Amino acid sequence: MSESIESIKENLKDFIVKRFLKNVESEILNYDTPLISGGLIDSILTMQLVVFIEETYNFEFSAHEVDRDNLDSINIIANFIQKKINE
Amino acid sequence: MNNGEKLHDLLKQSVQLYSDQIALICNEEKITYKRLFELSLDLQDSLKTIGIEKGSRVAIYSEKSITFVASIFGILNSNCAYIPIDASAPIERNKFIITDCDVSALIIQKKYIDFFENEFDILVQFEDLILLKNKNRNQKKSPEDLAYILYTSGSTGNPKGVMYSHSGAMSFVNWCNSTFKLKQSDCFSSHAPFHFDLSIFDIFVCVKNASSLVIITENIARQPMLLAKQISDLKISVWYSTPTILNLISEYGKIEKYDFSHLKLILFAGEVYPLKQFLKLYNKLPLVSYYNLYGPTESNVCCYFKLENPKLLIENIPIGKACAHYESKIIESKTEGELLISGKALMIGYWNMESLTNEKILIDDNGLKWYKTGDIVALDSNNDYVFKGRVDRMIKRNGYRIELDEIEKTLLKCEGIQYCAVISTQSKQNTMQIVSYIVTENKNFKSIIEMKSISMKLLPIYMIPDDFIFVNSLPITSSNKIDYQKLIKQTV
Repeated sequence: MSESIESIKENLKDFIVKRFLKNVESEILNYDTPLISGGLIDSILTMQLVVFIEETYNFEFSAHEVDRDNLDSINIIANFIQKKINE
Repeated sequence: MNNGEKLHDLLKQSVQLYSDQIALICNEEKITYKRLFELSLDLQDSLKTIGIEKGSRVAIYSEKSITFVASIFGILNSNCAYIPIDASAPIERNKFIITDCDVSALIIQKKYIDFFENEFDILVQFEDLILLKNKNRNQKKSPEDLAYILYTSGSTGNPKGVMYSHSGAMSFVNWCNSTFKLKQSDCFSSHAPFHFDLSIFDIFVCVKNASSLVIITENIARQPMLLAKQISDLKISVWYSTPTILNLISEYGKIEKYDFSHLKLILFAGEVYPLKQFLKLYNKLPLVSYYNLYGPTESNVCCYFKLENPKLLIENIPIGKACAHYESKIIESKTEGELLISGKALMIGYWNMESLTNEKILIDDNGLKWYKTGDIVALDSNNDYVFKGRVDRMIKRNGYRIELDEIEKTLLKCEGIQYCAVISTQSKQNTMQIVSYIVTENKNFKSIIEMKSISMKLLPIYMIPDDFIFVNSLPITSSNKIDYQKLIKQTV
């Protein structure tokens, strides 16, 4: 899959806004907004996000990769996804 | 009458028989019973050297670690009571607890030390923690036999301390040992944070049996795949957590990839486990024994239900019958109503809140003390209690008690917020949602993102509302109070 990093980010933002936030918030949520450390998503929502990423980008997280270091903002997640699909 | 056995005697007994057995495992580290005992003696010496007298209270402000558990035993050895602090909670809330509890000493991680320099003298190192002594030397005396104080959410806006005695905790530990088939070769999980009463089972029942305890640290506590891996890799045989965590593991832990054959006992407590979700776990792990344990912090576990044929249950998992060391009844002998419990394992009372203690504890004609749980229950056809709801505005989320009023009163302290009403609702997926209605001053627009980040600074993570709704005014009842019922209706 050769998806650009920009379209990965848009895709993630779309999912997060639709599933976890109200549509009104889409303008305020930016690619650096802290998701986990900012209290926007809890552990269950984090796992829903992980499942969404796994299904959309067709790879599996290993246990230690489900971590704030890879998931705390759209920018961070997009970089992680790109690294994984290029592996 | 209790024979006066103390919680720290459990360690003394186990170390005599099994000194080389592994006591604690935490990440890459493990220590034997002998080492744990030595560490607890080291701390006991340090406390004595700096002049901490018996009957004092000592707080531990740290993430979960081997030293934390050693500190608990060191404090208890010194005939002092320990107060475990939630290191992940906001500093202001923790400072309140430490001041309210009037501790003589504080054992703390270096990174939090700056907040306490004014009130405490920095003294000695204890392993990776530091021992501080209160500059004010006139602490109140603890009640007789006090072992620990656990702080829970308070409706006044501040947390309140539940005081527990050695004899109360020992009767719980002994009940556990006679009810569950536990062995020295067992490996216990310690999933719950140490400020949470589930940890009393984990630490003290494990040490009584001279078994091994796996301390699960905060960084992986909510990561289902890592939890599943630990259960398998470390051959955990006794697991105790809230249903939220079990559900996370069963839904997202990919447990089919791991060997769970050592796991023989799963205990859960702290909140309702919806039957449908429980059955998903049961179907994946049908050979495990399951128990639903029930009890507020004020009593620890007071009722229990063994899930022998869970597929025959139709509606909810009952909270069962009173444990052998408790008596129970429904208020005014009704068929449905508030549950009252009585027994020697009841709390001593709330720290420094005598009138609240008297409000919550009734004394009957025979002089027996009954704690009013605030939980409404009914009896089913097997004479098991079934949980029906609350008499007040307290809710449970991931086992944590949350007074909605504490959230409200805390948010009202924020600049720009004029009024605030916090309610709880069930989402479509049957999970608890906390919703906060906000009226801002001067129509200052605030976003959910902004409100979440403000809340993170003031409230522990489990109290942060899931949703914020901005309104121009709040509905009022005819008696001029916030109309919570109306808010609940319009939220659903």
